[in-house]
Amino acid sequence: MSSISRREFVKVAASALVATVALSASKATSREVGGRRWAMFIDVSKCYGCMACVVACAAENNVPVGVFRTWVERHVLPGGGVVFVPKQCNHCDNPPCVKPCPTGATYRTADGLVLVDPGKCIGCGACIVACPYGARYFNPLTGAADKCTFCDHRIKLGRLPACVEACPTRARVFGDLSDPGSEVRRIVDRVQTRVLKPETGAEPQIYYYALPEVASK
Amino acid sequence: MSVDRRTFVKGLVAVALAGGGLLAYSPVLYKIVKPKARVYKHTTGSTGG
Amino acid sequence: MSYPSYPYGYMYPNEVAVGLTWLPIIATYMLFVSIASGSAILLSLEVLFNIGLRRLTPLLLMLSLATGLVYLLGPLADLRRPERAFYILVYPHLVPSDTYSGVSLIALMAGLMWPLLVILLVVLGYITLYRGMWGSIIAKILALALAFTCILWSTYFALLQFTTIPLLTVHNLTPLIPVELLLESIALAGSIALLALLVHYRSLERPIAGILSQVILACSLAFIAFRIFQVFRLHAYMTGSPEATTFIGVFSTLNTVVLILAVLSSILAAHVNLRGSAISASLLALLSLLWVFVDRWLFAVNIQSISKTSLSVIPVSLDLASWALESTAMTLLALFVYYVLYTWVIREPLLKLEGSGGGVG
Repeated sequence: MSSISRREFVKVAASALVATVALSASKATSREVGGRRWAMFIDVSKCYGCMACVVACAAENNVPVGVFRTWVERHVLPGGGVVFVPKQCNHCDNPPCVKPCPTGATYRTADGLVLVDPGKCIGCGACIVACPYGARYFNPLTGAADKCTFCDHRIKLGRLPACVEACPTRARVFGDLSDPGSEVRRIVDRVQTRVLKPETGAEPQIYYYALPEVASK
Repeated sequence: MSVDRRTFVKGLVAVALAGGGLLAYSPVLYKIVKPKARVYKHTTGSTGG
Repeated sequence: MSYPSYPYGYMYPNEVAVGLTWLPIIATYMLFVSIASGSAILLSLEVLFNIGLRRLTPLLLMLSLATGLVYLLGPLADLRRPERAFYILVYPHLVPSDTYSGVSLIALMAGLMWPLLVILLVVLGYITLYRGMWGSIIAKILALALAFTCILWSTYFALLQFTTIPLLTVHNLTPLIPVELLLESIALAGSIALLALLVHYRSLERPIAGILSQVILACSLAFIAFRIFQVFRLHAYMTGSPEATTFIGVFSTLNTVVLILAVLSSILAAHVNLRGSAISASLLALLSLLWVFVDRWLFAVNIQSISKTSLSVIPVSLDLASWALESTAMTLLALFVYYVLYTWVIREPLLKLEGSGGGVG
């Protein structure tokens, strides 16, 4: 039987400690990478209701006629002015739609996207009922619940969501809210924003500027 | 083997109830077995911008 | 090709496209849940406290099993992908995590509570009706577990609505709705059991009918009091707001019908208690069914048609033909299960209890 000296034992223990710390550090780094927080800023004063975002989204995501991943609401202000408010899934931090899903077809990713696995959805509609923003619908083609994904298939490739890319006035700004250097973070830090229905506790991640009260329901 | 009339009637009632129920439920059963719609995949087509 | 026209009022376009997310069959489904859970509660009360319904217990067990075994056909018909219904058992969302926050009540009920309920009913029925272990500690523990689970079961839809529907007007009403659902379930199950008693014994067995009618009367009166209190709350705190106006618009008419039916049911229950006539007992079963069904319709269909903006009502087109077919299917299959249980399975204990001459042990 071989015996090891105290010095060797300390060496092995030290290297094990270093390896453990290094491994934890690498985990922390990957957590940081996964810790992005995708969010959107919408400047209502810049939207003039051209619906380019709606069309781009429908074309990009094969959204059937009659249902919408994003839509633009037209509201008449008390003074008679007209305002256009783009709306969509708010990719909430505390998503009410994830909780009632019986099969876990709806889930939240590490970087804050709330997504639907159409292969797991049984079409019970609990998430549709639970979404305070009317962002979900039954896809008439698949029967599964469907909604905006922030174009996760595009942002993975470093591209912007279709609605953001198509907006002619840059009313929509998309980015990583946890990155202090990102445009969306700088804007949200600088201007006074509002979210929709904060009373539901959903912690939505679409920040509106110049949102009138009449459109905030 | 012979079945007496009473048992036969009982069986008939049971079969009628079950058959009627299944018949009325058949549209749902059809939904379960019919071929499914094709799931469309995401594209990364050009949207301008 | 025609495009859908957008109705007047502030609502989200997807709401207009989807219409009713939960189809009207959910109202029938909730009616079945009420009968199943109410009967099981009465059964467990008899085992726990010996309230004098011993000779009714086989009928209660059959009622509960017949409705409890077929009631899931309702939500199955409501699913847009019914062929995937078994996913609830394969991927049940029961453990909260960062990815899947919360616990799904649907998964809890369909995947966990329902099998538990059926097992509890069957085991309790076996050890009491076949083995005669009415006073045993095992029977009492099982009855307690059954009562607890069935109280949750009877209030399930209210809990589901409370945890999913994001409307504050509904939440303002919701605190008492679970209690109302429980009361309705016991009253309805009692009325149906009274009818089953009449059909089985060809007469209203006096002590049992007396106890049952008292239970029905108490539950319906308590329901009426709670519902009137809630209407008062709604009008006292919220009148004048646009949200309340929308809510009252879809709620008031059917709610008045529900209250009238509940009052009529309680009058009939009092009549059964005093006179014990077969006609009033049959009418009571019919009226209770109608009362509870209209109330379920009110919550499953009317309340659901309020837009998420709280400011308008979604125009919904009801597929009543499908609803009628599916409801008929559920009723026929429940009758089938009841008939099979009555004719071949629970025949022996029924005859034994008939022979006992109404003994309350």
